[in-house]
Amino acid sequence: MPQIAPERYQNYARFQKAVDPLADAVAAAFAQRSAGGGRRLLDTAIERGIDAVDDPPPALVDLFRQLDSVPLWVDWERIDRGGAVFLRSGVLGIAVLNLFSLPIMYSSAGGNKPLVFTGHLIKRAPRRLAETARFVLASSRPGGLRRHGEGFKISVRVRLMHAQVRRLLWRSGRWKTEWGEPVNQLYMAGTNVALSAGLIEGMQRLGFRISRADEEALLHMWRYSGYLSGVDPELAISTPEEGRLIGELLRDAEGPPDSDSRALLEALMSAAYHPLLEGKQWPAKLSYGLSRKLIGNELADALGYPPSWWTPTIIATWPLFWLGSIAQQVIPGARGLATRVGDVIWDRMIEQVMAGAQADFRPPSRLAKRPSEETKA
Amino acid sequence: MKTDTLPILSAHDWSLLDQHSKSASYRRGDVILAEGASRRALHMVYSGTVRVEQAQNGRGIALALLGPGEIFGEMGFVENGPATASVVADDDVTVYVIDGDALQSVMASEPGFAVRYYHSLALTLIRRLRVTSRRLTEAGSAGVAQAQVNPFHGPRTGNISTRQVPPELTEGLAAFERAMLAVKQELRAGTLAESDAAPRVKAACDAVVRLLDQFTQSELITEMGWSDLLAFRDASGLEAGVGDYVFRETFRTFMLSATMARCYAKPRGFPDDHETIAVIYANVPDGDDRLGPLIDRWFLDRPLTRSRRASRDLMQARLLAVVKQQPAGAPVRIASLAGGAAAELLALCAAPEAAAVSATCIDIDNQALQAAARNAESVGVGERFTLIQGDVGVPSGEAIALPPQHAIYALGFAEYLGNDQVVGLIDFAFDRLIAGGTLIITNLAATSPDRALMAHVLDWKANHRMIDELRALFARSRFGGRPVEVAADETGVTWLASCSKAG
Repeated sequence: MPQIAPERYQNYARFQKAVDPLADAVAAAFAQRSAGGGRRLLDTAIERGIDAVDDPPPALVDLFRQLDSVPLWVDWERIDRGGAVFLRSGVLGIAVLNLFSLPIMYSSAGGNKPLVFTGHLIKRAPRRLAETARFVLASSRPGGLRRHGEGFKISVRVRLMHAQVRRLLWRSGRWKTEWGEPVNQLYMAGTNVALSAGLIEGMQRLGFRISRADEEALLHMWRYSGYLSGVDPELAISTPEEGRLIGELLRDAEGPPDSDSRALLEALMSAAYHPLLEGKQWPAKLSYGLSRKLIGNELADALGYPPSWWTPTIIATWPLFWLGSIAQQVIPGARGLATRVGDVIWDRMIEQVMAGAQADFRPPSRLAKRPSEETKA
Repeated sequence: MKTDTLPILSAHDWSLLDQHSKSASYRRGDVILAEGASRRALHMVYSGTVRVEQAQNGRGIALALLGPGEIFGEMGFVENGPATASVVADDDVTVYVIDGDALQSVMASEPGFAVRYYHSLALTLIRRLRVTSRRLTEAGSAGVAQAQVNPFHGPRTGNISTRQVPPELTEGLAAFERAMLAVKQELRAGTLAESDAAPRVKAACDAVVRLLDQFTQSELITEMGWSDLLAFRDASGLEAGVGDYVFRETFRTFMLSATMARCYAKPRGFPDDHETIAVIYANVPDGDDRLGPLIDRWFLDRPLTRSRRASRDLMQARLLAVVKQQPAGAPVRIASLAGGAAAELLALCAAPEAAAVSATCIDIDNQALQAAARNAESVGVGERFTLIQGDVGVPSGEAIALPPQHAIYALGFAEYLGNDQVVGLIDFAFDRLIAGGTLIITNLAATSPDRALMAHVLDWKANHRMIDELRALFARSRFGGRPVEVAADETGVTWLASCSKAG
C-alpha cells in the first residue's frame, strides 16, 4: 500500500497507465512490415530526415514532427554545459551510475519487470551498463542532443525499443495489469530523474562539488533528453527540488523492492567489468559497500546487500573528490582538461565492457532465463 | 398438386395444371430425364427424392437432391433446349409431369396464367441465383472452407531478423543436415544397411520436430523479440519466422519424402485431398534418392499420419455400431460430409452386417467423388452410393437437400473450419438426421505433437481444438444441451465427437 497522499496517488496511478502513444503507433505500423523494413525507414528518418523517407507511415511522420520540433525552452549552451559537468565527473560519474542511479532504478518493483522478463539484464549486466553509459556519454558530448547528434539518435532508437518492448509484453500473455503498463511514463521519468538529479545527488555524496548553475544545466540537458525519449512534460524536472519531489513520489508509491530488484542488483554488483577481475570476490564487496553508503542502509537492506567493511572507506573519497572538483573550478584550463579526460575515461570504460562490440542497444544473442517468482506467477 | 416453388399461381391455376398432369413412378436409379434429352415438360416431385446429376468420366455426380414439392425441367421448357443435367430417382419416386404442349395450351386459354407462371418461375430462378451467389461469396470470404484452405503458399520471408534466429536453432538444424548427409553418404558407399539407417534418420527428423516445438513456445518467442527490438516483430510473426527458418533449412531434405512432398504441394488446392489420404492409408514409404523412402517411413510413422489411419478405423467402427442399432435388414442411410473418397464408408458398405446401408458422399472435389464411385463399383456396392458435389463448409451448404439420415459424419474436415463454420456444419447435419440419428465429427487435438510440423514445414494449416472447445461448438448448435461423447483415437491426435438427436 503506497504511503502517499490520495490525490498524489491518483496522479501517480494515471502515469502508471500512460505510455508513449507516438512511439507505440510507429511500432504498430512497423510491425506490419517485414523484419528490417521498419528499421530501414527509421534509420533513414534519423540519419537523413523524415522528408527523405519514401511514403512514410503517418505514425512515423507524427513522431518526427515532435522530435524535430525543438521546444522554445531549449538553451543549447546550457545543454552543452550540463553535458560537460557529466563528462568531467569521469570515473566518479561511472561509479555513481553503477552504484547509485541504477540501483535506485532497479529497486522499482513495477519498473524492473520489463528488464527481468527475459533475463536480459541479469545475464548481460555489464553490457547493459555499457549501453546506458554510451547513451549518457553520447548525450553529454557537445551537440550530442542536437538533431544529428549521436545522443539524439540513440534517444530515438531507445524510445522505439521501449515501444516494441511494450508490444512484446502486452502480447506475451504473462504481463500483469497490477504492474501498470510496461515501460510506462513513471518508469521513463524515473530513469530520467535517476540519470539527472540522482546522478548529481550521488556525486555530491561522494564529495564532488557542483555549482547551482552547473546543476541546473545538467538537469536542463536531461529535460531535453526526456523530451526526445517521450517523457510526459508534466514529469519533466527543471530543478533539483523537482527531481527530489518526483523521486520521492516514485519511491513512496512503488513500495519496497522485490526479488526481481534483488536479482538485478546482484547481477549488477557481481559482474566482472574487466578480465583481470574475473573470479575475484573483492570487487563485488567493494561495490556493495560503496553502493550501500550511497543509497542508504534502509534501501540497501531491502535490496539484500550483504554487509561490507568497505562502506566506511567511502569517507576517504570525499576530500579527494571535493578537492578535485574545486581544482577544476579554480585552476585555469582545468575544466576543459577534466572534460576531455572524462570523455576518454567514459569511452575506455565502454570499450572495455563491450569488448570491442558496438553498444547498438540491441542485445547480442540469446538471453538466459531467470524468471522470478513474480514473473512466473 | 401444388407447390411453393411456383408461388404466384392461384388455386384455379393449379386445378388446371392438375387436369393436364400425369403421375409417373420410378424405382431407385431410374433416369427420369436424361442429360441432353429434348423433352419439354414440367416435372414436380410428389414423393421421394431425385438427384440432379451430371456425367463426369462416365459416372454421374449429383449437383443437387430435390424432394417433394420441388420442380425440374422448367429450364428446358423456357429455353426450348436439351436438358443440361440428368434427373435420376434416388429412391422410389412419384412425379407429376405436365407436358409442354399441355402447358402451352393452358397459357393460351387461361387469361393471366402465362404472366403468373413466368413470374413464379422468375422468382424460383432468382432464389436459386441468390443461393449460388451467396455460396460463391462465402466461398471467397470464408477462407477455411474445404475448397479454400491454403489455395496457394504464401510468402515465407520477412518474419524474423537474422539476429533473432536463436543460435541453438541454427546449430540444431545444422546437426540435422550433417546427420542426414552422413547417412546418405554411408548408404551410397554401402557401409550402412537401410535397417540401420532408419533409426538414425528417425532420430534426426525427430530432433527437428523437437526444435520446432521448443522454439515456438511463447517464452522463447518473447526472448527472440527482445533480442532485436528494432526489427519490430510480434509473437505471431516470430513464430512464423521460426517456422520459415526451419522450413528453408530442411525443405530440400524433407521433400525427398513422397508423402511429405504431396502434403506440402497440395495439388488439389487443399490438404488431405483424397489422393494424399490414399497414400497415407496405403502406408508404403516412397521418395527420391536413398533418403526419401527412409524419411517417408518416418513421416508415415508420425502421430499425425498414424492418426489419419486410426481415426478412419475408429470412424468405421462407430458407423458400424450405428448400423447394428437398427433393426436387422432395415434400410440405413449414412452420409459423409467432405470425406473425399470416404474409404471408411466404402469398407462399411462392403461388410456383411451393413448390407442395408445406403451411402451418400458430399464433397466439393469431383475427382474424389469419382474415386469413391470407382472404388464402390469395384467392390460391388456402387448402386448403394449417391455422390453429390457440394461444399458443406459454407452456410449455403443448407441448399444441399438430403433425405433424413441415420448417421452423418465428417472425418478430417472440422479442423479446416472456423468455429462458426463448424457450428454451421453441425446444424446442417442436425437438420438432415432422423430422430435419434447420430452426427460424428473429428478434429485434430490441440495437443497434437505434429502441430508445428504441419504448420511450418508442410504449410498445412489446421484449427486444432481442445475437447471443451468441441463440446462448446455442439452446445452452440441446434443439438443444444444434448450429451456429446468425445473420444481420442489410439494416437491421441484426433478427437472423435458424437452426438445423437433426441429420439
